Amino acid sequence: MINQEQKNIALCGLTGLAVASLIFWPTLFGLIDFWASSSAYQHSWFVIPMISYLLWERAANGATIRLRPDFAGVPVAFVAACSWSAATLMNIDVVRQFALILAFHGIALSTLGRKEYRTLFPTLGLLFLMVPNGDLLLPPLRLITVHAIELFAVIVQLPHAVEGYALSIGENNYNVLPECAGLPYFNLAIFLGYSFGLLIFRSPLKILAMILFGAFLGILTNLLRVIAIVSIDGINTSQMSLSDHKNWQWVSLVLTFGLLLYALSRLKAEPPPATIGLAAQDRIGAPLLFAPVLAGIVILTVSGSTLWLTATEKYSAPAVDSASVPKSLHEWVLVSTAATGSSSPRSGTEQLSLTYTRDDRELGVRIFVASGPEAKIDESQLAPSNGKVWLEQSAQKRVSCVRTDCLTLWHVTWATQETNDLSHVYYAYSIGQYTTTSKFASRAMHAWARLSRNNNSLYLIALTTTEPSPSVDEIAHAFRMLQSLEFAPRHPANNRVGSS
Amino acid sequence: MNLFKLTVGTLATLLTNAALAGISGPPTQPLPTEEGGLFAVAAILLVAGIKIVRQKRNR
Repeated sequence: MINQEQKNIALCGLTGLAVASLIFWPTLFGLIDFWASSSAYQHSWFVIPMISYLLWERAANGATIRLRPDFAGVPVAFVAACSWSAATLMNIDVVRQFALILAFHGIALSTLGRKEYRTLFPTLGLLFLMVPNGDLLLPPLRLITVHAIELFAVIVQLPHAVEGYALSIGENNYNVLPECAGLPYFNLAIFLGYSFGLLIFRSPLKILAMILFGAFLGILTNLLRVIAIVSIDGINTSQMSLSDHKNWQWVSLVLTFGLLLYALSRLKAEPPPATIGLAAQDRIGAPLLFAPVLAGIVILTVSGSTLWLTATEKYSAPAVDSASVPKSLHEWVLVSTAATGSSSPRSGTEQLSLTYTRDDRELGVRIFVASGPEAKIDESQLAPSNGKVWLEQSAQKRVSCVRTDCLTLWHVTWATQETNDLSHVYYAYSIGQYTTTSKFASRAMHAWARLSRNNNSLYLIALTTTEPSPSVDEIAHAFRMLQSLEFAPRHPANNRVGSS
Repeated sequence: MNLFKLTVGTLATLLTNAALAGISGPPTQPLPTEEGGLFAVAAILLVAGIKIVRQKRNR
């Protein structure tokens, strides 16, 4: 029987949760949109039902949850709100989504109390699997896939060559795309390993072992798939189409997830939590009762202030002053200029394309300018676009130094699969006088510019050449000349958000 | 928990997911079940895992 005091605490917890959901609703709906549009996060739909089932099972076994509000959740909610605010200024969705889950944990801690929260933490930890993790996991998963194929070729003694994400095995050429990294299998296997661990074990270490076993199976699923594809291509001495690659996912999925279910059936289940009688407890004081509401108010105050700050932000939609475009870059001469406008003043990007030539060779320059405070520069637009299908072959950082002044640029090599043409793209982000190859650092500097209201625009300069590529020093020299471009406000008066 | 409750729970989850996908995006957005079948695989494996553990506990 639930007493009135427990009902009041639950009501305060729900109020805190409602306040956090209200302030974070765009992040929450953004998260749901992400699951709906990506096969890598299909497991996320089952997180809340699984937590509900585990809590129901716990209650069905007679283990009661006694709510003992605690102010310890308030600092957690504060950290979550600060992280969300920083991520909002920096335009980083994944941090905003992580902060949302952390805020829910803060409210759970302030409602449940430390002891119950510690007991339920393994179950509530499932919530973190709802956050899209592709930015973090795709690069290592891609590398693992490349090295596994290389190892397979060494073991079976096939002639092979590896350059970045491009491999040639015998007569066949492959490019390990982000889609080939196996992120959907990895995420699904981690979720299933974690869920099965929670179902069968109570020890956190054993649950962790199940998560690691799931991660291993997720990687194994993808490796079995790619190795099967490479083997069959080798036997047939021709490459199967990309659409046929998907058929092999089902074979490897049945094998590895069958192994997971077999392992589950062989493991010894730990007994469910012991039934606890409701002992007489001290009454909870009124101030403590409102701990979850206070956590919600902290989130509302910090995140609401950020929302107010961004809503009243003044900015000038910038455009490159065409008069400041260099007519030549060392020996390269400007032959054409084209500008593309932005459809959204707040979140769009302006693009300026320049073409320089030297001895019948072309050097393409593209400058992407974030036209509003919420604009994100889309690096996928850096891919060559001349009607052919280009695949990213490798990405490396190149450094060019003039005395003590060093400039670091990304050097991305693109190749066509059919004719093996190569295209080299060199780029870096700039804001004011600051140049970086780090997307995170560029976003952080942009956030700082927004906070300090210095109106510096974030832009990306990319130089594209074909084979043979000029030296990195020559490219860096051209890059430095382009940095002298001047930005003029597109509209003479400062725009207020939503007014243009 | 019997098989009936399990089935009702699974169906309710599927319907909730479909409704959430429906309200959270434009009408042309694909439902999660269309995303390569991984949604269905996750559902089947989860239900199978729950059944295995329940049988194990009842033994």
